[in-house]
Formats: sequence, C-alpha cells, structure tokens
Amino acid sequence: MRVHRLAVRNFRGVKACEIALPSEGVTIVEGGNEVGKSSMAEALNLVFAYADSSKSTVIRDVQPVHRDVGPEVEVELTTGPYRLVYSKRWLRRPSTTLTIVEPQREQVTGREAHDRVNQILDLTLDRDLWNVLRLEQGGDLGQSGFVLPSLSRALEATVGADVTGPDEDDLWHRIVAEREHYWTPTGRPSAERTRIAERVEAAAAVVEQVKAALRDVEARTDEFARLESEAVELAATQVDLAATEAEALERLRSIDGIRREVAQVEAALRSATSDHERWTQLHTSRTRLSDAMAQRQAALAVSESALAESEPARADAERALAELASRRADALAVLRRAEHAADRAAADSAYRRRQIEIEQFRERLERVVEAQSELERVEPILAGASVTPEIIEALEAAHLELAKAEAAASAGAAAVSASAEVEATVVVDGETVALSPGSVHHLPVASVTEVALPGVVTFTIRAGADSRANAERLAEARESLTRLCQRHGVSGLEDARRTAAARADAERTRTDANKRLNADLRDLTVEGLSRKIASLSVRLAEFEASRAAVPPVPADLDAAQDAEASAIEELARRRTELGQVEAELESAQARTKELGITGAANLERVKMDRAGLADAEEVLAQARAEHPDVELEEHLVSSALARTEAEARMAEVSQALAAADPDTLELVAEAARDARQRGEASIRDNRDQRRSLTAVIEHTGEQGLAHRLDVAQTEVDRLRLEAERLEARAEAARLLHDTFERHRAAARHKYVAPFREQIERLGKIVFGDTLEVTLDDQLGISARTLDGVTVGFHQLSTGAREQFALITRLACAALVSADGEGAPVVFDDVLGWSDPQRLKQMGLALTVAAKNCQVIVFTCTPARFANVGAANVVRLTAEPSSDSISA
Amino acid sequence: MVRFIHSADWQLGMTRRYLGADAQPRFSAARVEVVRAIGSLALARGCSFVVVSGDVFETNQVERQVVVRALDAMAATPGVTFYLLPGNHDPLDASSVFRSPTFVQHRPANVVVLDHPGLLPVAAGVELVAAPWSSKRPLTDLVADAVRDLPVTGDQRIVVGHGAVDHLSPDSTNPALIQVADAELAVADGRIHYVALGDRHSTTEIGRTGRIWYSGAPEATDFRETDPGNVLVVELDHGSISVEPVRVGTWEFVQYDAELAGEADLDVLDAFLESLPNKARTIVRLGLVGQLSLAERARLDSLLAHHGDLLGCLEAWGRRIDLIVLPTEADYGALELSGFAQAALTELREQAESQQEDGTVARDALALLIRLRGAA
Repeated sequence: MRVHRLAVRNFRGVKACEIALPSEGVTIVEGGNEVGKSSMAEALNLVFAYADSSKSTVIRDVQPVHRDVGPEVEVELTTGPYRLVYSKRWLRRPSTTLTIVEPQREQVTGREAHDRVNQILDLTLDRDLWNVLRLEQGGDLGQSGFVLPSLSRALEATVGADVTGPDEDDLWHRIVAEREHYWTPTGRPSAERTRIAERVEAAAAVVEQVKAALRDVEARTDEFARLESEAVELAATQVDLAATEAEALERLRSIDGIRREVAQVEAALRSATSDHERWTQLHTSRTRLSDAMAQRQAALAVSESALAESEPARADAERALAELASRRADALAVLRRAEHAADRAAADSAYRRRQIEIEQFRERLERVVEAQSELERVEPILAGASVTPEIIEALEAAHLELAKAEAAASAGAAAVSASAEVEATVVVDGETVALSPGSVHHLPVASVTEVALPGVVTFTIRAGADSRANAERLAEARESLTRLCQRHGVSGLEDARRTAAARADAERTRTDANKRLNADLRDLTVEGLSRKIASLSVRLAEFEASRAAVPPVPADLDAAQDAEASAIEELARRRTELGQVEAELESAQARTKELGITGAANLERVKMDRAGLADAEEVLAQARAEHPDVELEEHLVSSALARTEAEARMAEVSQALAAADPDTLELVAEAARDARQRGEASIRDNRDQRRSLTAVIEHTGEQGLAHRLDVAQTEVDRLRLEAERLEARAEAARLLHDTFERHRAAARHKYVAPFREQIERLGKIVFGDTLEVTLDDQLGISARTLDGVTVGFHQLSTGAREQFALITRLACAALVSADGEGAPVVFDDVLGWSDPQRLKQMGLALTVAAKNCQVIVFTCTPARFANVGAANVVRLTAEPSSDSISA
Repeated sequence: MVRFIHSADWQLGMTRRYLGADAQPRFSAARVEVVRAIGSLALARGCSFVVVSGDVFETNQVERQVVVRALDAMAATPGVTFYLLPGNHDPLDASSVFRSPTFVQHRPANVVVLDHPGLLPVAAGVELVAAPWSSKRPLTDLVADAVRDLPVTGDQRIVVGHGAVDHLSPDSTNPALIQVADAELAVADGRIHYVALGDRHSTTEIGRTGRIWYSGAPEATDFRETDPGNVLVVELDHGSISVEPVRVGTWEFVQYDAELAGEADLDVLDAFLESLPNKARTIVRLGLVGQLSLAERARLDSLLAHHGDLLGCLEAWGRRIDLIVLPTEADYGALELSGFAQAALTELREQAESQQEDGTVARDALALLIRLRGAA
C-alpha cells in the first residue's frame, strides 16, 4: 500500500490540512507542538478503523472543542491493483465516500463504502504489518510482532521456499486452538482430561469396594461352612468323651478293696520301722560311748608323755640364766670403774685449763691498769687551752703583719746603727743596750728615739712623717698580736705551736690507751675481771685440796686431755660389753619363761584328761546297767527283720494297686470330663459364631451386591471408553501440532537469514561494521553483538532500543515493499533519545531503507532528521490555511 | 406316565454391561417373563411340575427385586409346582438366596427348593432325586452320591442335578464332574429314569440312553451359546421316554465378523444387519477389520448409528474393531496446503503408513487436519 495524499478537516485543533506524499522515499512532516502533525498520523489510522456512524470516545476525542462540526479525513492511496480516494466524516452529518479509480472506476458511499474498503484492505494488505510499521513516541520498543504473513512470504520468496499463504496461518491458529483444548501450555493434560481420568479412578474405586464386599461375603460363607462341619465334629467328640469318662469311673469303683488293704499294710510298716529305728538309735549311742572312752584314754597317754618330755629343757634354761646374771654383775663393776677414771681425767683436764685461764685474766688486768694510768696522765693536757690550727693560722697572719710593719718601719725610718769599738752600754728610749766591739746595733727610729750614752750623751733622733706612720702601723700590729696571744692563753706564736703539738700528742695517747682498754676488758669491767680471777683461784685451790695424790695430775693441759680421751674410750668399750651380756640375759629369761608355761600347760592337760576319762567310764557303765551290750545286739537284729517283712508286704499290695492304675483312671475320667466341658463351650461358641455370621450374611444379601457391582463396572467401562477416545483425540491434536510447529519453525529458521541481513545492513550504518544481531523465534532481536561483545536486547539503553525499533521496521518494510507491496512506515515523533552522532547515522539509514518503500516521519524537532538525504519535507504551521500544502 | 418340564440356568439377575440404558431393563424383564412363559407352557402341555436344574439365580447376592419378581412369575401358575435346585451360581451355603428372608417370606406354595439331597416324592409313583449344591466347590460327583444307594422300586425317578459332565468338560481333574457312565448304569439298572441337568446353556443330549439332557437356558445369555432359548417337555412312561425341546426364549445374541475394504463390503454389512428379524431383541457384536477411506468410514459410522437405533444392542467398538481409516489422494488434494504446512502433511502421511501405535495417532492427526481445514 502507498498513501498519496492525506487531508484532515475539523480534526482536533486542525481546521484543515492536507499533505501530499511521494510513493517512495522519506517524507518528513515538520511542525511545532499542537499544529496537528500527530493528528495527521492518527487520522490515517481512524479512517480505516471506525465507520462514520461510530460514537466511540476515540472519535469524540478528535472532534474540535467548542465547534459544532464533525471531523473529516480524506485519503488517497494505492493498494494492490486498486487506486482509490476514501473520505469519511463522523458525528456531524456523517458520511463515507469511496471512489475507486483503478482498475475500474467505481463509487460507493455509506456503510457499503466502509465495508468495501475493508474488504479491499483484507485482500491486499497485511493488516498486522500495517500496525507493526507504525511507531509513535513512547510506543512499545519490544521486538515482537514480526511474525507477519507478508514478511514471511517476502522472506520465503527471497530464499526460494514454498510460499505460505494466509490460509496456512489460519490453519495453524486452528491447530494451536485444538491442541490447547487437550493440553495446557506446559504440556500437561487439560482440565477436561484430568476430570475424566479422575472419574475413571473414582468409578474403579467403587468397583473395588463392591468387589471387596463380595469377597467378604464369600469369606464369611466359607467360614460358616467350616463352622458347620466343626459343629458336627464337636458333637461326635462329646459322645466319645462321655463314654470314656463312664468307663473310667466304673473301673475306679472296683479297686477300692485294694486301697483299704494298702492302708492297713502301710500302718504295720510304719510301726515296724519306728521300732527298728529306736533300737538302731540305742545301738549307735552305745557305740559312740565306747568310742568316746577310748579317745579319752588315748588323749591322757599323749598328754602325760608331753609333760615328761618338757622338764629337762626347762632345768637347762634356768642354769644358763643364772650364769648370765653373774656375768652381767661383773661387767657392771668394770663399767663403774671406767666411769670413775673418766670423771677424774675430765676434772684434771679442767683443772689444767683453768690454770691457763687465770694467767690470761691476770695479764689482761695488768694491761688495763697501765692504760688507765696513761689516760690519767694526758687528762690535764687535754683539759688545758685549746689551740686549734685556725688559731695558729690567725697568729701566723698577725705575726706576718708585724714583720711587714717592722720592715716598713725600719725601711722608712731613720735608722741608727751603732758600732761599738769598745764594750759600751747605750740606753735607747730608756732601755739599756750592751754593745760589743765589732757589733753593730741597728736602731730603728719610728718617731722619736732617744739614744743615750748614759752619761755621755743623749741623742734624740726624730723620724720624719712616714716614719711615724710606719711606727703607728707597727704598734698596731704588735697590739693585734698581743691581743691574740692573750685571748688564746699563749705567749706567742712559738708557744701556740708548742701547745698545739702537745695536745695532738695527748689525743693520740688517749686513743691508743682506750683501744687497748677495750681489747682487754671486752665485755667486763675491771672489777668483773678481778672477781673472775678471784673466783678461779678459789676453785683451783679447792681442786688441789680434794685431789688425791695418786695418780698424779698430768703435767699439763695436753697430757690431761690425752688422759681424758683414753678414759672416755675405755668407758665406751665397757658399756658395749655390758650391753651384749644384758641382751643374752634377756633372751635366756624369755626362753626360761616359755618353757615354764609349756610345762604348766602340760600338767593341766594331764589333769583334765584324767577327769574326762573318769566321766566317760561312768556314763558307759550307767548305759550298760540299763541295756547290756548283748541285749542291745539282739533287739537290733529282731526289729530289722520285722521291718523287712512289713516292707515286703507293702510292696506286694502296692503292686496290686499299681496294676489296677487308679491314677491313670482318675486322670482319664477327669480329662474326659474337662474335655467334655470345654467341648460344650466350643459348641456354644461355634453356635454363637454361626448366628452372628448368619446375621451379617443375611444383611449383606439384602444389599444386592451383584447388581451394584454390575452398575459400577458398567460405569467404569463407559468412562474408560470415553477417556480412551479423549486421549486418542488429545494425542492426535498433539502430534498434528508438534509436527506443524516443527516444520513452521524450520521454515522460519530458513527465512530468518535475509531479514537478519537486512537489519544488519541498516544497523551497520548506525552502529558500525562489527554489528551482528541474533533473532528469536518471533523474528525479534534478542541480542546484538558489537566488537565481539554480545548484549541482550533488554539490557540495551532506551536510545539503542528505539534505534533498533526503527531499523527493524525499516528492514521489514524494505523486504515486503517490493513492487508496491507492503505498507507505509510511519514514525511519529521518534528518536528523542538519540545523540547528534546517532541522529546523523540514523538519517543515513533512513535514506538507504526508504529507497524502495514509503516512509512518513512526523516530527516537531526537524533537526533530528536533518541528515536524511533527499527527503520530502512538509512544514505545518500553527494556523494552517485551507489551501493545500505540498512539498 | 408323568409329564413335566425340564429347565435350568435361568441366571436371573444377570446383566450385560454392553447393553445400553434402553436394552438392559428390557433384557432383564424378558428373563422374568420367560418364567411366566414356562408356567403357561406347563399348563398348556399338561405338565404337573417344572424342575429347574440349578442356577435359578445368577448369584446369591442378587438384587432382591429380582427375587420377588421371579417368585411372582412362578406364582402366576399356582397349579404348576416349580422345583428349584441350588446350582454353582446359587449354592445352598450360608449366603444362599433360597434361605434369604426375602425368598422365604415371599415364596409361594408352588415353589419348592430342593435343599436336601436324595428322594422327594412329587406324585404317585414319581420321585425326584435331588443333587443340590451346598457350596461353590463340591468335592464329589453329587449326582452319583444321590443315586448310589437307591434301591430299584416301581417308581419313576427323575434326577435333578447340576454341573459339567465328564464327556464335555476339558477339566478332568475336577472331582465334581458328573460321571456319565455311572448315570447311564443307574438308568440301565432301573434305579433312575431321567437325568435333568443344568449348567450348559445350550440344549444338549448326553450319552446314548436318551434320558440324560441339558435343557439349556430358556433365554440366551451370551454369544457363545449354540442352541439356547429352549425348555424340554419330558414325558416318562414305564419303558418309554419322549423329550421335546420347545422354544420359549425371545432374545438373540449374534456375532458377526467381516473384513471391510470398500463400498461393496459396506453394502453387505448393511444388508446383513437389515435382514435380522426381531431387531429390538437382538444383540449384535461386530468384529470388523480392514481399511477405509474417510468417506467410507463416514458411511460406516452412519450405517452403524442407524442399525444401533434399531437393534437391542449393536456392539461395534473396542478391541474387536481394527479398522484403519486413511484419507485418499482426493482428500489430501482438497487440503491445498503449501509451504511448511505441506511439509508437515507429508511427514504425517508417511507416519500414518506405520502399523504401529504411532501410525494410529498419525492417522487420527490426519483426520483432524482434514476436519480443521474443512472448517476453514
């Protein structure tokens, strides 16, 4: 189909608008929002879909607001062999006009025109294709709906396959519907088949129930028959048992006489047995007495012999004991002497040691006295003036100052030297100075010095001013020195030095004396030391007074200590000897005691045995007095004989009784009686069971089970047949469907290739040379591959999906539109999601695809399609005039 | 001289599941009606009694409605006494229908159950020798047991027994088989004079004495029976006997097997079914094999539907029908398929040639395809 012209009037906001469209290539209808370009796209759809009589909301929606006019559409198109003009007005003065121009001119109006157009379209146009090739902004970008008869035919023609017409598609839909009648989409039986199968099962269950009931009846009937024959057997058994019991009782009565005799013989036997037992007891008792006496005699002999044997050993032991006691006394005496010697040696040793001690104490005392006298000597020195090194230092300083002052005075003052030629005496400042010939006497003149030769002359020498100052300094220095000496109690520097040396000496002496005093006194005082010496002296004197002269005291301490050691050694030896003797003595005492006890015991045993023997002899004598031994023997023999006779008789009558076998007879009678009673119970039980079974069987019999089984079985058979037929139909439907589906898929697989190639040819313009697409069963793109990377269609961006939506439709249109077939591709306001680069490439793809088909693009953004080469552009304005606008 | 009717195997209460909702009640009613017919025949032929040699009822668990209807039918001829023998289907065990409260309560005076083995005088000089079944599995020849110790007297003795005879039974180990030689010996000795047997549904004479008979069922029960639908009118006179089969049954069981290969065979089948008399009481079972076209099959279906309406029952389904329906080239040509559909058709046609199960499915699928295409 090709649309040549489209005009609308009073359609939504558009008063009038008409566009002319070339049969092939791209037509771009541009215009801003609300100028009616979408209305044009919509009109193309409505004119075929709605009769002029339609009051649908879709139609009412396109009526202009506030204007009492009906929307109108007129379209001129070619489809198949037909070229026609078709116009339609709705709502106000509705009308439809169809003018067929080719192949034969024809004009139709009204409903007839509407139907005629649809008839023509049904014949010449794939209506599904018409719908698929229209894509609006926001429309479904999914890749479905390409299984189109027209596309299939085009593809089949391309690959040279048999052409499949619309009839085959219709048949296919019927086959699918038929299969769906028997199978669910997942291949499970349909609800109807499941229902029938369930009914068969339920009916079969009923059959089984009735059969089970019939089996029960049969089992009960068999059981009843068994009980009947059992009842007969039980009755016969009862008769047999009664006869057995009666016979046994009769025989029992006949053996009562034998029983009585047995009782008599039993009594006689008991008496004889009792008599014999008495004599046997007496005889046994006598034998026991005789045996006891013999035992007593033997025991006495043994004990007497033991007593005799034990006496010599005891005497030997006592002798040995006495000897040992004597040896112990000797050893003890020797020990005492050794102890004495040891004591004396120890005392001697102590004596000699004390002698040495007292000497040492005396020496220490002498040294103490000496030290004390030294201390007393240095005491005053230490108590005197104390001249310390500091004082010495101060004195030396004062002395030095004096020397310096003197030097200054002598240097600065007038010095008067007097050399005598003869012995002369001069008085200097009132002091007489003797002068020897040759000597020179120097006189310093501090201020005024008077030198007089008594009587001869007196010289007054006066010093200058400096000399006076020096003289004053000198006087001060002297004064200072003098004051120091007075303060410290010395006459001068030399005295001070002497005094200090004496004091140091005294201190050394005191320290030394104290050291020696401490060493000798230690923890004692002088008095204590003296007392010790006195005490030791007394003890020494005492020892000397008491000590025997012989033996003499060892000469010195060493000899005394040697003697003491020898004595102690001797003492130890003696003690060991005594210990040995005492151990032997103890052992001998124990043995003597033991032998004494044994001897006493033997004696006691002999006494006891003698008494026992006497008792036994007496008892035996008494017994013999009552029944002499001979009499006892006679009674024993006679009573044994009587008992044997009674036993023989007893055996005789017992045997007679046993032969009659009353026990067995009684058992037989009793068993028969018990069995008869049990049999009666069994008979009652059997009767009860039969009654109970009869009741059940009669009750079941009234139910007509055979008839019920027939009815149920008939139902099962009928249902099974029905189910079998249904299953056969289901299998046939499935086989038909599966076979057709397989061939259909195979055919589609064959012709999918050209479609894919067409899509890829256009797609490579947009996406590049590496593009590959994968198509699914429905001929939609399921995945695309770019540079070797495959991405599922649904994972692509909206922009890419829209681009593919356009490309797929263009590819489809390109395939089906050869020779004027197919349908126009209509894009309304698409490519809103594409970037400028993609828009450019899409423009190229559109140009290539539209070479053989009609593509109409409505857009409010002309720039999106600026790259479409050789496009026809129709521009709509806001208020379109009633004039026609054409490219 | 004594004259009586010998019948057996009434099998009252028997149903046939292949009968439809219409035929089954009529079939059941006929089995009761034939009892009335026997009573009437007895009166008409001057018979004083009827012996029924076992299997009066199909089972002891028979529906009680059947019992009372049967008793009512016998009560219709009070002058004729019916002696009923328990057989293997209705043995005299604990569940016996003859001891059921319904039977006991509704038994008319002219109905006597032969519930004890041995002699039962029924008229002056006439004795029945009963050999009733007391269980489903007797361990001896009950007829021989009943006859063994009979003395020879001047009385006419009619043995009433039930079960297979050794002459006809393939199961020689069955201890209950009636020994024909023993029976013939007793006949020869003059201890018995007629043996009225039941169990075999076709009227059959046994042995060479002319006195041992299966009367057969008075109304047919199955396709296998060769001569059902009769009773025997027996006349005994000292030294002579006359046995006359008289037809009383009204239903027929017909088995018809045919191979169908075209229109001509269908013509023959149609003619055969058309020729059957008494259609409403005829039960036909068809065994059909062969191969038909779609059109022929349609004609067969129509033919069967027509005769099915007329006949008591026409059984033409199930395993006995082995017809292959193959569309003809003309059928396929009318399909006018192309492309993948034509390829699918070719595959199905190849598969339809198979004699296996998948061939059947493929043929059904082809028939379905033609139907779906035809509806287009």
